[in-house]
Amino acid sequence: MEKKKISRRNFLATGPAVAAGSAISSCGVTQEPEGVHGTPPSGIPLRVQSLMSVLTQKGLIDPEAVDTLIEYYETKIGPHIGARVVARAWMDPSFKIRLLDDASSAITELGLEGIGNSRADLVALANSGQAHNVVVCTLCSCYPWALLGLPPSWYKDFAYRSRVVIEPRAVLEEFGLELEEDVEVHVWDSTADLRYLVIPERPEGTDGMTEEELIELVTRDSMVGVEKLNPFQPEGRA
Amino acid sequence: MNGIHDMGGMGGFGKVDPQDDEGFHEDWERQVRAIISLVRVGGVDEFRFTIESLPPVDYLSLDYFGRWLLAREKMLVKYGLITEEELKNPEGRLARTAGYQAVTPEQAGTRTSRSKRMQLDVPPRFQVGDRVRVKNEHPRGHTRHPRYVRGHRGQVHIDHGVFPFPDRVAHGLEDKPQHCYAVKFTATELWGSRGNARDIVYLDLFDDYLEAAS
Repeated sequence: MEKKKISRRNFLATGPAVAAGSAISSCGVTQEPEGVHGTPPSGIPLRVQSLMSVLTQKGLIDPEAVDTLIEYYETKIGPHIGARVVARAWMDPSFKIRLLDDASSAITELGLEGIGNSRADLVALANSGQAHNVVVCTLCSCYPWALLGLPPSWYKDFAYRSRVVIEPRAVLEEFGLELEEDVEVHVWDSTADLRYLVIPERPEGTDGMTEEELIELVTRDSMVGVEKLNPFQPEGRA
Repeated sequence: MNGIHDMGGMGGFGKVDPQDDEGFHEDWERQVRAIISLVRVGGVDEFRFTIESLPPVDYLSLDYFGRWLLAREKMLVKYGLITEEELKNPEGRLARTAGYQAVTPEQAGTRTSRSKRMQLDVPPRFQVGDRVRVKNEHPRGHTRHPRYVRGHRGQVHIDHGVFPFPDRVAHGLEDKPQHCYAVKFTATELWGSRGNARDIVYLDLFDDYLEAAS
């Protein structure tokens, strides 16, 4: 992350002229310019301190509650919750049918209705050999916090928000995912009050695994739809 | 509003950096996240509109939590919980706000936002499978139908049920409950020759955004 910040600053110092020159060469342009990201104004951390100080003095916030809540975000919720939903869908075909029909109600079977502090209505999307689903929020950065925890920075960045809807295959390649030409890409722009969870395909080599073992294989990125799970290789034989 | 936030389909932002995958980079981001949950004013739709209304240069130069900070400051001032003067001089001795009970540490981990779906018998204007066109409207206020679908034809794919209409709720108006649908668009309908003929884009769109298409 530090590396990225430096590169952004360097870019802001030297980049715009270069980018402008490379982007608008003539017709037949196939590459986008490298991109100018924002660098947060240096006063922001101080500004947060000021706000915290005002809110604390006025009794509007309890700093201990801040710590509790952040610990909750960083340790209690996370992709391990969504992974339970995916593993159950792999294990139990009738659960998968109920999940795809009404995910908000199906996850109550796993005792997940009270977990996470966002209970937005949920929709599950099943990947298959024919169609690959990927989720974005172009307008802000809506994300299924209750099931996946904190959204990764790239999900909130302008590059991901702007491009997934227009060139999903190029974006997926930047994640190292190259789809077969005959696979359909289905992009879900979560513009309203529904939150989307991708159910990745069950990886090969996992027959006979227990639900607990399967949970360990499910990644956050596979549930956003920017990753396919690789065939399982037992340790030592990879 | 036709704002800078409405960036679906724009170019110029460069490549995605999958390595940049932390939830927080800095401690101040953690604090901003907590302030949003613990000191609630207005609703999420008004919060989004406040973010969208930041000057475009600020929107682009701040990161996600920086935008949250500026927007929440504005709302706290608007709702009278703090003043701009206090923010400028945070070291002054400030009196506690009478009658306000801050969220306790015990309550903090259980703060929930409820589902917004409404159990109301509002008739849907469209059925699954109906051909629809997104109205070519450009409201000045908050809206959730991005520019890149306006005027385009799609097909109703899922009826999600009845929800409050964010275009009104964000501005403190009555919520005009209505159906919200996942609408399916072909990539070529939206993006012409840049779209892959196999690909599909789905968006969740409210009844008021749509009209019947043949």
